[in-house]
Amino acid sequence: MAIQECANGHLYDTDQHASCPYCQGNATRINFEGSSVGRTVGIAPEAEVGATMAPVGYTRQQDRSDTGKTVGAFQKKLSFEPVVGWLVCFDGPEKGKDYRIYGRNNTVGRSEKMDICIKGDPTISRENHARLAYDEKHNAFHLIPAESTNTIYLNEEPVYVPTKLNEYDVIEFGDCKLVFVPFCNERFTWQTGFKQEQ
Amino acid sequence: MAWFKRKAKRNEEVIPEASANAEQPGRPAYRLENIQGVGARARQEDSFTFMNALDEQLYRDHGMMFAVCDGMGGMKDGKVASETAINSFRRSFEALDTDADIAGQLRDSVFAASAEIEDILEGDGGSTVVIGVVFREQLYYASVGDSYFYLKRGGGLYRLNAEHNVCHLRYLENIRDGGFDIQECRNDPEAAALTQFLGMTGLSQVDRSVRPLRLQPGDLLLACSDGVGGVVDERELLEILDGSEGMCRRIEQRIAEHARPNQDNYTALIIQCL
Repeated sequence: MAIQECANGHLYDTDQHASCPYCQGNATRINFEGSSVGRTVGIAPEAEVGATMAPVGYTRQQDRSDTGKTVGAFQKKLSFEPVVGWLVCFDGPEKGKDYRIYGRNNTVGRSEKMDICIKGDPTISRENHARLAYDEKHNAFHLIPAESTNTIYLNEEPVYVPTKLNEYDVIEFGDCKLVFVPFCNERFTWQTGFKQEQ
Repeated sequence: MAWFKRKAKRNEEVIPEASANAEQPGRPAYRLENIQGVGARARQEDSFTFMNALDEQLYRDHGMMFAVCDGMGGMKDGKVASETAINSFRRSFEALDTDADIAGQLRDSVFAASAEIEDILEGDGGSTVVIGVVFREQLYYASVGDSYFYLKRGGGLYRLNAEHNVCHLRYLENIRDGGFDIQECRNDPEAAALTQFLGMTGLSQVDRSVRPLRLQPGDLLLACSDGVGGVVDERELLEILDGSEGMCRRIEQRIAEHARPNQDNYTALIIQCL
């Protein structure tokens, strides 16, 4: 046996194969009953039985224009709620990145478990540094300090209590300076769509 | 997810600790095997790779990487997704700084791969992954989706990752509600559907090792897609993983013996510590 590693990192026996059998797709083929050869495939082929699939409820975020309707608990878990705004980091370790704000209580922290995960800033608490809440009824956003040890600033002022956010407010989490950019505002909400010009 | 954390912790307690002689410099070396087949499918949507597999100097200096990705059928091109992921992981591994936090970089590489797939397939397609990096006989790993990652140590076979699928979600709900009916969870019509995958909009869970696992001579790692793990059960695997040559070939034989009419693509990688 002479084992060779091909350019794509596959191992094969050069005594048996002249070139990598996995790259060419000509590895040994075992015939299984009910092989898909000759199977009729429509224009939109149905998922094959047992194929690795996304859940039935999975839809792309971009496609969900009819939101505002009740969202199943399962989809909630998947956080496919519509985006209602963004934070954009304009200064600090994650400069240039944006974070989506969804229509609920958004947790902020370094951990990937957080809704708004600011990984690159060690001065931000791992979990629950703060919360960003979207209030559907009043179409309003609030910044709620949570378990951070470092003070959170809003427009250079320290924040100790839940504080209403306005468009282009500057929030400081640790060393990150972020601009708050609402998507849902007086001109648009997911419930009512675009407000008609009077 | 708290339950996964607890599960991981339990694993740590159960797996026998590496003995002191594993710290001998220059030990262990590895022996690697791989196998891949399309099964009864029209296309091969699994992808896999090793890096620094055969160059001893390279893996001593920079570590060794292996990954299995199972592209999702039933959505956009599964092969594109799994290939994109593999290529992304290869680039990330080349840029790996072994003096810094390897586990953290591995986690970041998972999110990077996911973002790349999302860019290409726009959230309408994806891939699972099991990726491992072995550096100085320490194993770091991460997984997303329903592929399998096993450690065979001593006489035991240990599953190192949890699956991100509806079946597991039902387990969790069952436990929370005080009962635990495994069969009921498995019978869920959506049981096999993934709850997390690379390329998904809003990937939020990565199953991974926070601290590395020290490998010891005789350890066997098996990373495989569900075309292997979902067909050949643990008892059979334990029998096959005996440390002799041709284990991957015997896994393939066993898959052929099962002769599932809808046999999924199958891919298996074995890392044997000598």
